[in-house]
Amino acid sequence: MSIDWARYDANGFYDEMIGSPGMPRALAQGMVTHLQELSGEEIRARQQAAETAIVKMGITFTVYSEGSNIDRAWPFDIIPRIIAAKEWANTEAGLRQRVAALNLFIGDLYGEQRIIRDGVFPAELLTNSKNFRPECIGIRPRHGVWAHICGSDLIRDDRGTFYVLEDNLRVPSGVSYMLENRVLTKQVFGELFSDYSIQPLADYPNHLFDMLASIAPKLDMFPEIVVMTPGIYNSAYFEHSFLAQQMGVELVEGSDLVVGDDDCVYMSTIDGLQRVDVIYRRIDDLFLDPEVFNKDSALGVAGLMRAWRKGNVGLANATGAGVADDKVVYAYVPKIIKYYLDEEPLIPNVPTYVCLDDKERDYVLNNLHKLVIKPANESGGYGMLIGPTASKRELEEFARRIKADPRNYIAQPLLKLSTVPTMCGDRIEPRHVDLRPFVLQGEKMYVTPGGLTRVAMRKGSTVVNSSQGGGSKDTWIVNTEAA
Amino acid sequence: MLSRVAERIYWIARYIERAENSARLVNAYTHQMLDLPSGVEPGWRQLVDIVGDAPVFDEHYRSYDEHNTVSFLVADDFSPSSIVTSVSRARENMRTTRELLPTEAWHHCNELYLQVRQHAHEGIPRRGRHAFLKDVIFRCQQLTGLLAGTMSHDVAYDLMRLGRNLERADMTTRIVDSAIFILMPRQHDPGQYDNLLCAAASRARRWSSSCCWTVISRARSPVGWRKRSSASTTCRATRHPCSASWNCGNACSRRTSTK
Repeated sequence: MSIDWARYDANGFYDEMIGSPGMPRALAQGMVTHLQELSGEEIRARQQAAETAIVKMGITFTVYSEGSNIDRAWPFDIIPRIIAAKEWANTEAGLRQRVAALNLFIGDLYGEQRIIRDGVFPAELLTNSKNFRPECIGIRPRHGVWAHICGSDLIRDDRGTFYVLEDNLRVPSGVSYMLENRVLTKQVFGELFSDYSIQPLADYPNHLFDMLASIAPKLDMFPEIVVMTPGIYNSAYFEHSFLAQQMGVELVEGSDLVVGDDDCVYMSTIDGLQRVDVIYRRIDDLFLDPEVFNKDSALGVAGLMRAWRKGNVGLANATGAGVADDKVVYAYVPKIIKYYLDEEPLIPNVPTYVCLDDKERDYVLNNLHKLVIKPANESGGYGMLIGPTASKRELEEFARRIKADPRNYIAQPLLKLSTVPTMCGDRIEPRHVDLRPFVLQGEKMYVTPGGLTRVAMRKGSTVVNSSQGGGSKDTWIVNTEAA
Repeated sequence: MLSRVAERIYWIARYIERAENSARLVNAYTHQMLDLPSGVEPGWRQLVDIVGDAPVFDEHYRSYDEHNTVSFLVADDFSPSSIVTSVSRARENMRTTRELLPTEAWHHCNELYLQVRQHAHEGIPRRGRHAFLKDVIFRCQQLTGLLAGTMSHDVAYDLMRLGRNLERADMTTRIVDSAIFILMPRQHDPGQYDNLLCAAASRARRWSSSCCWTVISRARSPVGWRKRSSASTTCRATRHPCSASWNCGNACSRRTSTK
């Protein structure tokens, strides 16, 4: 039995592939027709083949649970998500604009703080910021860039408009899964590629390498670049090792590095100490350098900040970049773009209420049951409240928390996230998705065509985090003009 | 290359070689035992003595019967020399050096691991033993070939070869050592099955069979007896002061084997 698209109903949400029951959108026509030609059994066999490949290729992510680490197979849905290149062009421009503005903003905060003096950004937000690092004041990284790798989460509403949901400027992860998803789709759905002209992703590691090389202390033909990982028990270890392998650089741990008397960074190799020019670090700020931050950190390298401050090593992302991915700062991003670039934001923010503001807080407390409440500095979907589905006790608990620490909370309306067709057991059903594109900024800028699509696998759910049972899809940016 | 990575590469090769050795040993020994009437020495205990893990064995089993000893060399997690343990450790070392190794080698090692984890219990009874062990041997050889064919033959590859050859030398001396131990006391009155034992010992190490033959034959003469000390020296030389946690317990406990 093949798929019955007439029975596929997105239930009032914006479905990216099927406009109304039985009516595929123009771009999805080829895919829908192809899927229709396959029997249910054939489709299941493809999904099975993909899942087997994932286990054999060892594509995993690590979940911390009950004090131990479990390596789980990466969840992947075989039906790709299609976005028109035309539609994407505006989103891409918006991402470039956003990251450029955020980098100017971070540089300003650690420099003259013009934006505060001009009254656009409240000073108290900075003094209460968990991710502002006073140790970075006065530092001027190359090209004025702090957030070299940015992963912004985008969603589409019930009309298909893209919004930015949040920016990840510290150590955003997921890009390796984006690349592996494409490899998997090529393996199990190779024939679909002949119907579409899809923008390639595979050169991301080259762009990443070039970006990292552009922040080396001296313009060397062959800078020594390393990826720095907290180690094999980190949830993103797979990605760290994947990127190092793809770029052909060393994957180091803190214990492999040492800062010499000359304030340069070295790694211990079988030929002795060797100078390191650029570190792509995947360790949180506070564990980077026990001399400056967490004294007990065994993951970091003593003296790293000294070396960086003197310009002897490039650091991506720079320490302190996280100041701009605070969810309260997020609410100010449209103003930040206007202030530094004198442009209107090309991608809108989701309307956000800042609990620090008295008026907005009152609104939030009176409408908790309609809103999504998020703590300012959590990631992975932890510590959130989804008002409409929360119990009375949870609502009261969050009201108490917000009153106790208003700086730490924001609220947003519950968005009607778009859906895409997804394999759910034997059937194809609509499921909510988001999208995380990756933006690189060094000397030049690069935006991945598409990004990592994450899928909320439970019916009606909007929680897409893989640590909480989310799935993923390959994402196609498709050129519509005949090639 | 990072020193930490160098160590892991070396151990990948040792563990893969060790897994293959255990498979060959059990396979050859099984074939031999099927030729011998029951009750004829040395019995299954010999297998555990060769890998030198009798103390660990005694902690978990009371009797050195066929099931227990084969399980100990094939499937037991607690056994430092089992195929399951060796492959798991090789895979863990490879998982943490993926950035340096060919993608296919990692995929292959991971598949070997999944295969062994899932099917090791089938390798214990005689019915499935041969097929399982052959599969392990074949996959280990494939991995070795894959590395030879796809890796740059640079320092990393040299370390692989170093690990593999040391492990091979170590195992060879153990087998020779054990054969001598059985045969020596009877040197003036060869037992009925001695030739069979010699043949089996050399089959376990098919690539160094000529070496085995030479050593064993010499061992059977009074002059050869002294060779035993040199074999033991090689064993000691392969001890490794290891730092990575999963490379530790095994290496050290195995090396305590002297009769």
